[in-house]
Amino acid sequence: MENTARVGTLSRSFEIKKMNLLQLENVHKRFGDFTAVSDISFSIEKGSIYGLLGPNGAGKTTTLRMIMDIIAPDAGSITFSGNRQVQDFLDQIGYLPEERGLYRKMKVRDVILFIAELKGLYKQQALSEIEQWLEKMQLSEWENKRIDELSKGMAQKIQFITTVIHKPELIILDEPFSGLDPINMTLLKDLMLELREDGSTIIFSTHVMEQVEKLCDHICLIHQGKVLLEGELRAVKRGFGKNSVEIEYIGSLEPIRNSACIQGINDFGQYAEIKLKTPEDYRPFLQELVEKGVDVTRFELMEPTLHEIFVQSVEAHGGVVQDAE
Amino acid sequence: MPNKIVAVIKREYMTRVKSKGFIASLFLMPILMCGLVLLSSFLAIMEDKTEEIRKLAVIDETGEIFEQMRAAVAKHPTFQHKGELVYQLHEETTTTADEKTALQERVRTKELYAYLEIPKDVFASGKVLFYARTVTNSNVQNTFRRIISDIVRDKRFAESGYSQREVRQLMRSVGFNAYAVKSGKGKEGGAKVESAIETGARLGLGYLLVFVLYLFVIIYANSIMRSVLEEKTTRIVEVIISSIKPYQLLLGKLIGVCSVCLTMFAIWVIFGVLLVMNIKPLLGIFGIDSLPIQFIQVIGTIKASGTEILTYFFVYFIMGFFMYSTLYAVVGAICGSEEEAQQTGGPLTMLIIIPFILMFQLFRIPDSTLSVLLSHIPFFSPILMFMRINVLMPPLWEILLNILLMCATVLLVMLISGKIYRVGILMYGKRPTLAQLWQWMRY
Repeated sequence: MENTARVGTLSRSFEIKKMNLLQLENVHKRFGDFTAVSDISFSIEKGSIYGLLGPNGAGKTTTLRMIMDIIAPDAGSITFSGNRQVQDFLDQIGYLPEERGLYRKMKVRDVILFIAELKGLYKQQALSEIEQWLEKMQLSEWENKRIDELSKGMAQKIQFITTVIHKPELIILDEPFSGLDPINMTLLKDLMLELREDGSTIIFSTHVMEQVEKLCDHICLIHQGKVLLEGELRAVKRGFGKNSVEIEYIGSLEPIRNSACIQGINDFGQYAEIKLKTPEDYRPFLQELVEKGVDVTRFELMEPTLHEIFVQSVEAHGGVVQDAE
Repeated sequence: MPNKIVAVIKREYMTRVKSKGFIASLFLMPILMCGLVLLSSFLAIMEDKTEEIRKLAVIDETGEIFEQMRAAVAKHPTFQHKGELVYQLHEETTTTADEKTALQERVRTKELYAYLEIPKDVFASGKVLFYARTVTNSNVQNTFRRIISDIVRDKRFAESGYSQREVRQLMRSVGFNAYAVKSGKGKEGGAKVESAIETGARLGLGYLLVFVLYLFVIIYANSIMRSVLEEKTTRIVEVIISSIKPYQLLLGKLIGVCSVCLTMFAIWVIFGVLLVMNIKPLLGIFGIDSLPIQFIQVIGTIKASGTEILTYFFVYFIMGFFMYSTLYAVVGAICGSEEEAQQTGGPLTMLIIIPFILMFQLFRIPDSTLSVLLSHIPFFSPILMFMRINVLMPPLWEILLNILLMCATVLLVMLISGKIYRVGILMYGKRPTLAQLWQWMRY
């Protein structure tokens, strides 16, 4: 199944090659005896939102740091717009590190201005951008407050502004949703979509699958430094096949509870999510329902959720997934 | 394209210059310095004066000295307070060990201030013994020594048949004034003799500057360490070094903070120069028309040698600052918390405290081989070489060599430190071992 997804991507990769903004080829990184990233290859299409998924410690942050040229890979190559010298393009990249933090004693405006200048913006230009962004984030009145007077959520918004203030072509967000409340999560999701509309390419890492489903065009699932799955989200899902069905029924499910096709049932009384052993099992299962006289009012084949794909892939490689937040 | 290092310099500079601490030091430091100078000169002339009556016991085994001694003590200003005699002497005729222990006990319980023992053979070679709870009061002891010596000497002269008065007249010591011979300035060249006041003023200024150098290097090197640590603990460093190289960040920090110090010095110097130039009209406001000649001489010396000393000061300050601050930045980079950094930085502080302590001894022998050698150890140079320049100007080639040596050290330190810094700022958790540091240098 996993192979199907890969083949799917490979056949497409030829035609999209020219449009790749970022490409990693056989990237490898060791820290002492520990291999953090092993032979990772993927490419990111211009204008896409790319999800880098994996459990904690999978090598996501290391990969992103290598893209940012903060640490150098031991082997392999990273190309930006077909150019190997990524360090020449750092100003066209915006980076939000996993661990958040700003100068606590500085004023909001001064912090953003400092980072904007580091990214190559002139002061006047930066100031007008800052004004617009603060307004957009409804933080205008906080412009002259010190960072340590802000709430955590506000500080995170400020940090997001510092990441995108220079209108980068590529935006790298390391676990951008961690620690955000639902309102800010939605705000961030909308912002990401908006930035993509404006032509930016976004790569973000996460272990929360829900956002990935909503946002990503492409995903890359890494585990223990290796790529397990990579490709277009739809293709990946298709590759996994539909082995879940949702049914609505009247009466009881008892007659089919011990069916040979079923791997698990999540019964809600009038509605149940049923996991089949293989995608092909849905025909015999439907037949069984009819034969055993269950009064079914709806029968729908479901795509696997990314969460299921994630858990299955990792577990298939001997890993354990702590339930996502 | 704006220069990114400039952005770092600007931030480091502005956040410090705008801080309350900077404004406070700008005003408080000169006040503190003046206070310190005044206090130490006040302490130097302050004597162990007391209003309380101090009782002293004297064991006079000769039986000839005590009366004369009491008479001399009664007249001596050292033993008086506001014209009243506060030191009371009485004779004890103790001889046994037990009785002496009893005397010691009376000293311990503060009944007696001290007791003196004048041995029988004091006219030949015996020594006077002085017992007190504290023996750091050299003035009182010296006065007793002089009084007893005079009595003993007079007795010796009398026994040898000399008139006391004549001998005293013949034995009076000569006056002694010291003058430093300096190289003259400008076309005149040659030798130039400095008066004691001129030397004092010049050395005083020199000391003050060494002290300022020492203080500022320590304070601002620590400030750099904390700033590196802040960037590391808030993780903002990841954002910064995804825009500029770690060495650029480090360099920007050093230049920024160094400029803060130089700004403060510049303000002081400008203020000082204005003060010196307008001293007469300023004092006129307070109704003082004429200045003591010594004061004019001091001002004159500062005017004459100030520019040269200050130039050297700036050179040695900048060198010292870069040398030590780079090391402190590395400490900040390899540590995870302020406590840890303070501990790790401890041994580094010794690097600057050692020359500061040595200076107090070495200034007496500025051209000894030891002084010369120590002053050329780059980490000691900012203090020891600068001290030598103030006390006894070394040959120009030596100064140039020294500056060259320090430049090379600064570069080397920055090169090595830059590598450790680069790795350290991204490492969290345990502080690295020396072996790991060695590994980082070669990444």
